[in-house]
Amino acid sequence: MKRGIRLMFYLILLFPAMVSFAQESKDDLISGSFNQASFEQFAKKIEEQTSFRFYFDVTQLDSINITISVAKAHLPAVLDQVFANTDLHFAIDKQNHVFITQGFTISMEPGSSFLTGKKDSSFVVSKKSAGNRGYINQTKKISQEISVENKLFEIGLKVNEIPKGKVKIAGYVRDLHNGEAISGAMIYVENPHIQVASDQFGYFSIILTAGRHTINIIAPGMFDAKRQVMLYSDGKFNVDMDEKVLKLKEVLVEVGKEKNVRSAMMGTNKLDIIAMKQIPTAFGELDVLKAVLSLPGVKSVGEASTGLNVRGGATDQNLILFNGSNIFNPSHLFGFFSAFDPDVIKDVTLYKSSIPANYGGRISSVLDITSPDGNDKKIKGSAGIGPLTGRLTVEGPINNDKTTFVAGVRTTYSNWLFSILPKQYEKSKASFRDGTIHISHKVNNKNNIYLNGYISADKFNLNSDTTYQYQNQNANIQWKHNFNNQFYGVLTAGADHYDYKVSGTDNPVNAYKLAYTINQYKLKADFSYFLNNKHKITFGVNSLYYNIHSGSFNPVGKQSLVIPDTIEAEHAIESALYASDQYNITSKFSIEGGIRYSIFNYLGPKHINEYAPGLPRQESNVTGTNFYPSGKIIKTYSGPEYRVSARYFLSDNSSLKASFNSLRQYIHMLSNTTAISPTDIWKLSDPNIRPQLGSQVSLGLYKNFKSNTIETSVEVYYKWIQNYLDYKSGAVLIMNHHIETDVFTTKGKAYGAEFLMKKATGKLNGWVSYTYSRSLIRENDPLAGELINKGNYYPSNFDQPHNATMVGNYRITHRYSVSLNITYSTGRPITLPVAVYDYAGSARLLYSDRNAYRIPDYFRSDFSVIMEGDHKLKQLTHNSWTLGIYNLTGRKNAYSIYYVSQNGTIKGYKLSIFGSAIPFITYNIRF
Amino acid sequence: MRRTHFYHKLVLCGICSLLFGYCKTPYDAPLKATQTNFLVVEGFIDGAAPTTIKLSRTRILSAGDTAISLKELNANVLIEDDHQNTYPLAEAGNGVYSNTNTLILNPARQYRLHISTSSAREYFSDFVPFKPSPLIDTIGWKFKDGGVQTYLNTHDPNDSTRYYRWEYNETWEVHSYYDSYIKYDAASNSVIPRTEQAYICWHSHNSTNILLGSSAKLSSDVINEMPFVYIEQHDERLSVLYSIWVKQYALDLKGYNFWQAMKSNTENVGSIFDPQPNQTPGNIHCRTDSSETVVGYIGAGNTFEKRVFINNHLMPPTWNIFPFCPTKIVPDNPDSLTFYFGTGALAPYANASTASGSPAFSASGIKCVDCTISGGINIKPPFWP
Repeated sequence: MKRGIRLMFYLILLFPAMVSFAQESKDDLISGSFNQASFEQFAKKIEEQTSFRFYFDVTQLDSINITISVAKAHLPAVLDQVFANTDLHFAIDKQNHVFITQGFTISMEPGSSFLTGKKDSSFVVSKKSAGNRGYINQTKKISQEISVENKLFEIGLKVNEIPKGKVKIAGYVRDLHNGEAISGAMIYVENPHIQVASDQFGYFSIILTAGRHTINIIAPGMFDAKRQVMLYSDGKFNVDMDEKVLKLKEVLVEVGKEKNVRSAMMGTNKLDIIAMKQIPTAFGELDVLKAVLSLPGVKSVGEASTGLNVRGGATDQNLILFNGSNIFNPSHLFGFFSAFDPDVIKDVTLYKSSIPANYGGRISSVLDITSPDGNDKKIKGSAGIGPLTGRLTVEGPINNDKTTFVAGVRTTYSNWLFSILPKQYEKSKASFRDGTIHISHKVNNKNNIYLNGYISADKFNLNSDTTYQYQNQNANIQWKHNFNNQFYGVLTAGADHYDYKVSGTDNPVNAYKLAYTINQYKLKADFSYFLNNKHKITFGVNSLYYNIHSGSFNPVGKQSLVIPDTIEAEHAIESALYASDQYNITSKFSIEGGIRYSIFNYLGPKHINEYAPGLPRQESNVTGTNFYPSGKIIKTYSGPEYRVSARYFLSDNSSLKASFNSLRQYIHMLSNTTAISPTDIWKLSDPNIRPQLGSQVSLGLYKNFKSNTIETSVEVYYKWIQNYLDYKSGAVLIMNHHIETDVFTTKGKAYGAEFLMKKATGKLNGWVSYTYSRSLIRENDPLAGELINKGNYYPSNFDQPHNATMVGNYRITHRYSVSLNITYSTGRPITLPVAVYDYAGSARLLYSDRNAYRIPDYFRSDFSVIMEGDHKLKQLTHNSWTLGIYNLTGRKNAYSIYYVSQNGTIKGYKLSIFGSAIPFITYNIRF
Repeated sequence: MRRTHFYHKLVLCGICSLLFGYCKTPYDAPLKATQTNFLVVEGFIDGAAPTTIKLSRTRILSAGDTAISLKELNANVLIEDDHQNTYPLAEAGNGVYSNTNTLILNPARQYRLHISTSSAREYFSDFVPFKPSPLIDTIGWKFKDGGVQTYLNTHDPNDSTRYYRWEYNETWEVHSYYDSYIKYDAASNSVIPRTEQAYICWHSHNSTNILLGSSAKLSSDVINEMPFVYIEQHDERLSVLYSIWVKQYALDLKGYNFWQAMKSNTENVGSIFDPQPNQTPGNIHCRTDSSETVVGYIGAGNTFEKRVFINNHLMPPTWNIFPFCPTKIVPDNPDSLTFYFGTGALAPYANASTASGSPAFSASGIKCVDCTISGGINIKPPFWP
């Protein structure tokens, strides 16, 4: 604002020729007719007729169109009419200089404050009273912003008379600097309070009364923005927001960060990349999934696992979406790292309670990971070097600013690790790489096209000739079409692929190659319809075709005697239809109700075993095998899924929310290990394996303190899980032609309470959470042929009742910040032996009840320092260092406890993944 | 493919121990002391060698496994076939029940074990088919990473065996560094002539790991180069002569699964991808109380045995590393004898004299002189060449 004033002085100084000292009467009369004239044209006409001389900032007035017809009118009256319903003001001094200002009036009496805004009788000024703007401490402002924020945007067909009635406007919220869409931005006006949020494309639609409004736009990581709009009729309105590059010394107290209270959704956590960067990680490798693990209600069985257990659910019950693609194995290097390159990630949203109706197919949670749109102004890049990986990311426009891309690659050079290991590991190799591309193309105002591609690959062999390989390959295309301001649709087509291969060739007679592949093709259409401010309706249809090659085992080489064996492929179509309405019943009460109906068709060609009814599913009870030809529907499962959530404002900064959801899952991951392993396989529901069903009720209380800078919440939930698969003793999961004989179904229940306190802004930011939760399962499947723990409920592998986490970051100066991360949780359950006996020359162990014991409690603290290079905006490269210590206290946290027969005797061990404090350093560069 | 997590364990420990200190630390969980006392039955109904059945009881798991091993005494053990023939086994003490002669069993019949304990409980194993083991084709060896890898080849021309289990015994000859003909007698604090040689000893070791093989996925019933014992370079087992004796059992699928589960529960643990421990039920049931847990699987068939020798001559000349065995001249006086020999630090191996000419003994570390100290036996086994 200061700068705006200065601009006016420059105007005065630079164009002295314009200043004429005509000592004419104030009563120069004006006549004329203007039709859609600009203010410049208007001023010129008046200057021709009279001695008035105008001084104004062109950018402030370029949106004013004047349609007026006057005869012998006084200028002040004309200007009052022209500036009606704007916050433009004028002042006329004795020399007939007319100063046009926005938001305040000026007084030019010598000796008086230039900026008092006080009305002085010796001057003619606007009749309206001007609001006092608190511009004095607004240090963040840059010139672009001042002009944009003060500029009046006129929307619709301009008429001189303000129309009555409602006006619908819609548009995108984007990042000013790189054109990236900002999702989850809150767009609202005050008095009466009307609020909408931008969707994943940054798109929003709002209905307001015609006339003048101040629209507020807030979004995490962005400076709060305001726009002056003049609404005549329906129209487009885009907002570019400015990113908070860094906080200057004057800390801005930000208002409006009240999304947790305002949103009708509950159990939703969103982490943006800036927050994730502050969390120290092992080896300094920024890890999306490890960051998600610091959220309440999310657990993992140990440090070597990226598998997430959300609110007592299994690792296969999370729908992991990366730019809309379904990722089956999200881990690298045996689970030490997640398979997502942090440089191409914008944010991560975890839905663990209210799951929107457009998502389905997994019963526990949805983890939605998105990439930013590429910079639409210029080609930029970044690179990072850590102890194990190197990364490179490039983004920018292609040809013009209509098409942008962001692409990242990451690869490992972890083989050095093996070269310095003892000799027995020297032949080992482990490598991984991943690549991501996201292209967004704006066809025109109504059509956008997005292309996404992702590939990740892992390969390792550990001092043996057994080589393991696995890879994800995903691609999709999205076409977004805006039918009108209120209605848009997104059509998505995509393919997801995962495969693994194991080969062993050291013994030529037994040389083999084992392969498994899952392919998934999907087509979906999603629509959003903003009926009015009270109703936002979404609906859609989607279909997913599965083609799973459940396993092939083939010989390698001429000497191999391995019999080629292939398990019959599986085919199925999973379709769903959904509709959901977000209904704001009153300003305090809103409800979002959705229903999803999913249908699963298991298709031929396939041989299906039939088992004698009521008898255990064993090979001996097979009564027959039926063959179903290609395309024939073998079995159909279908059912409704309900998604309901409601919010009630208790006060301006507190709300109560409740939700109920039910979900269905038609695909099962088969693994009898506690962690996700590379040879886990996915199996579809079939006539003998029913789909998993989950339902959850939850209740939450949200309250913000200190002008919404501190968010607190309590959520409680209860969850039921049916048909989760567990495994019989000695189950064979790989290359099993009748897997149903080795699995049985369980019932599960989970409940808990999650407490969260979060401070998202300020020098000190972070969150503290505590979770009490239980996860229990029971197996009394009469078809199993055996009972686990006598058919009673027992703790699941990831039942960790107490969990407390603190994630904190403190900015010392603009360039240095420190982070501290503390985690505590109860040890996970484990099965330990009950007795010893001697057999085959050694002492051996007898196991009984599952999960009757726990490993010791887990505690870890991490520390890191982030050092930014200097903050000159205009320089060739920006660099930063991150250094820190993972597991600061060096605690040998147990990953597992086990007993083993060694040289004839029994020994007990504790296995720790990290046995000491691990220092790390990484270097990042942006160009 | 068989046990993927084994490899993970390797790399995990490698990374951990190198970079982050130890990943594996001894630990004894605070276990609830449950008295189980379940019957454990181990053995094989053998048509080619005397049948031996061992009966014992499960015991409490304690730190260091200090609980006493409980043997089941005074039981009645019978082998029964499906034609009501019975073959009683005699109690040989210490929970072992056996027959001295090889039973003549009919391969067309099915066999089971019938146990009556002194507490009047009756146990039966399931009837199992008689599975003859094919011959062991070869037990061979090859150099691998500087050491010696022994392996076994076998095949069944009828393609009907498919599942195998092996037990082995290793025997090896070692020589002391010095061949001594004298020894220290503590009772008289004097050096006396040796009556038993202490220069050549034989060590013996039974397999403690479960060795299983399967050709179920192969087009013919062939076991090719099944790895057995790996002998590290310079290992004393190959310093003179080494022998391995292997006994081959044929298993049915149920028996194979039982052994496989026992192996994975007790040997293949400690990785980051451990499967859930489980107890695969064996094939022995208590008739008196069907809910009682009984541990064990009894199979039947002909076993086959084979022994091979590996001579140190076939090793590279760098194989043998000679121990550090300096000679010390110990004067023949009571104080010196008590000081050097009475404490067991040194042992005499030859007569000598001091620099001044008085009687003395050449002595060296006791392990350099007496091979029985390290657990060797100085009597040549009957099968030794």
